[in-house]
Amino acid sequence: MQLNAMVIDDSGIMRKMVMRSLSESEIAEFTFTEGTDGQDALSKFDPSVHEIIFVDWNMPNMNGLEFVKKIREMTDHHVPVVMITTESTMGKVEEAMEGGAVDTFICKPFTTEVIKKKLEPLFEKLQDAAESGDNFFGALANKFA
Amino acid sequence: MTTTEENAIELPHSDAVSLAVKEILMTACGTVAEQCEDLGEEMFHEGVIISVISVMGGVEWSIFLGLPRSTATAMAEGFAGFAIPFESEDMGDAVGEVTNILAGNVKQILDKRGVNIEISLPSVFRADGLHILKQRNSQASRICYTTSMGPLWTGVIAGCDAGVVA
Repeated sequence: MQLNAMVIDDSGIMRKMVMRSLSESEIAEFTFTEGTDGQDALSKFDPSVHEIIFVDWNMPNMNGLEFVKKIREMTDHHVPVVMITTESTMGKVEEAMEGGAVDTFICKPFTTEVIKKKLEPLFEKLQDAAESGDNFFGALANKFA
Repeated sequence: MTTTEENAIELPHSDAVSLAVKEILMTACGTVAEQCEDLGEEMFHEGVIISVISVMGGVEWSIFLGLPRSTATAMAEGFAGFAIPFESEDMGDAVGEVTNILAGNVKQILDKRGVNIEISLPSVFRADGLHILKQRNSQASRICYTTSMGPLWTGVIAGCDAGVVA
């Protein structure tokens, strides 16, 4: 299965590490668009192209949550968001998850195995949506049918 | 930041940094950090990278992580899983991220003590050598560590600005 992912982090090395781990996870075949902060990512985000987003919380110019709020206004379907965080923002990320803005999170430092385990429940939700005909995730769910 | 032991002052809660260093270097870089005697500034003669994070809230600090060239190179590879040249932009990103994770762990430790803090984004500096000056009335603690990847140093400073001359 091929997935178009956005990876947003002001740290180039973190973007590389996330992309490398996702590729190694073999959970899907990812194509990546990189964003250097929320503002840069917003200018590159295309709801008809990007199917899953991996975004750092703590960034200059526009932080991860602000970016997520903006893209939620731009789409009529739910684009899954994986927040990348440190322990310093865990509480805020959990609040964002409860509010439905964020689907899951990965705490730094992470391994390929951790990323895989975090994505599995999300992918199961997508599978369920495909089986039940739920349109919450839009066309993305069809890939999980 | 002081370079002499007689000027070193133990700051309240600065032990949280030591606790975080040991945990984070193991989980993020795969190395055990053992606290050791002050190693002086000779370890920085081969080149050094320093990362600084400001802490605001229940305590007002700057947290420093100082890595000599060889330690930085080994630690960045341990963190990222691939080699990163010392002179590259990626090296700054890697050391900044380790400091960010370290500060996040400090925040979690202090939260449990009822001390709420916020942390800034890291600022990272690379230099050929380092001489650290302490300004009057500032309080500081510096702790050196040995690891399988080489020596390193962490510091906490509070009270007033410190001058860092490279």
